[in-house]
Amino acid sequence: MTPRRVAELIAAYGAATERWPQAERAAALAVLERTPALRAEFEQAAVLDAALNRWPCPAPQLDAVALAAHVSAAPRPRAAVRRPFFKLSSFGWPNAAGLAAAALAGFLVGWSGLDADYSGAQTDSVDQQVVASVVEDATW
Amino acid sequence: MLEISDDDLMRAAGTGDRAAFGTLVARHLQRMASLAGRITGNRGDAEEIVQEAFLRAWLKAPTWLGREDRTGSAAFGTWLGRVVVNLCLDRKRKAVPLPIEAAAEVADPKPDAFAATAGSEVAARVAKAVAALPDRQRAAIALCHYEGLSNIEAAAMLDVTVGALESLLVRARKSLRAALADIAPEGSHP
Repeated sequence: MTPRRVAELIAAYGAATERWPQAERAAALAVLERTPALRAEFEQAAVLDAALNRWPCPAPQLDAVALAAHVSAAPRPRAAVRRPFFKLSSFGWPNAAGLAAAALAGFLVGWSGLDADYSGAQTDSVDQQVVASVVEDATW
Repeated sequence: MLEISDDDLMRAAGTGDRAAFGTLVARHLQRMASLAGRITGNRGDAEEIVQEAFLRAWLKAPTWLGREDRTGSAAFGTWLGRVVVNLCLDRKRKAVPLPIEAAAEVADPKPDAFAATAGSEVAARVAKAVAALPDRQRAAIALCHYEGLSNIEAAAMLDVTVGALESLLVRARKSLRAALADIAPEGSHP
């Protein structure tokens, strides 16, 4: 602890040593005791402390019971609950049943081969029309 | 009998326990009202700020973890103090403090006429000098000088380092000393 640090403590916290940081207080008081040069600063700080203490606190007079009752009557917004990205139960059984039925129908159609034959026949027919129109264009 | 910690009261309040919340309010109201009054210098603003701060506490309670500060029951007080300080600093000042109102409350049970007049004037001048400080310097003086908080608590409420807090205090006291230099110590008649 140096006289300079004690001067800093006086400048920041004033002359009421109970406001000084507890960890530094004892050492600072010892330095203050043996350093007469710090006394003037200490006494000036005491004068300022006394002046500040003459301002009564403009705190509102609030009734704790009434305030607590008023505040705790306020509704709380529903807490944001983090939901999983996928949850089976959120689908609902009707939806799940519909999905399964659609999947089964698609499988049966694919397995029966009807879809493949039909689409193949249609593709062949379209290809023949395109070739015919190209040939027709070329003869013009 | 052990006192229920602030953290436990907050958790109980989080489940809707209004009595627990009432205990919290009773425990912290005076200090928060005083702090808001000192920073704003205005009773009306301080009252609104204190109500808002406790409302935020009520809304915060369901998610309160008590981890903001690991110093036990000081955690809630520090958190609430920070809310009050921030609300005070954020608030647009609507009016300067009312020195006459402050002067009317000088506590002196048997003042003679001279002392009453001088006390009122001094109180008014101190209120004006404190109000003229920059916001954060005023908050630092309110926390350390008037509320008597430790430097660590005050720094946490202002969300600054202890070194920065000391810098604010030094500048504030320097300005106050300049503004109030001619005020005679109490008890010494000119």
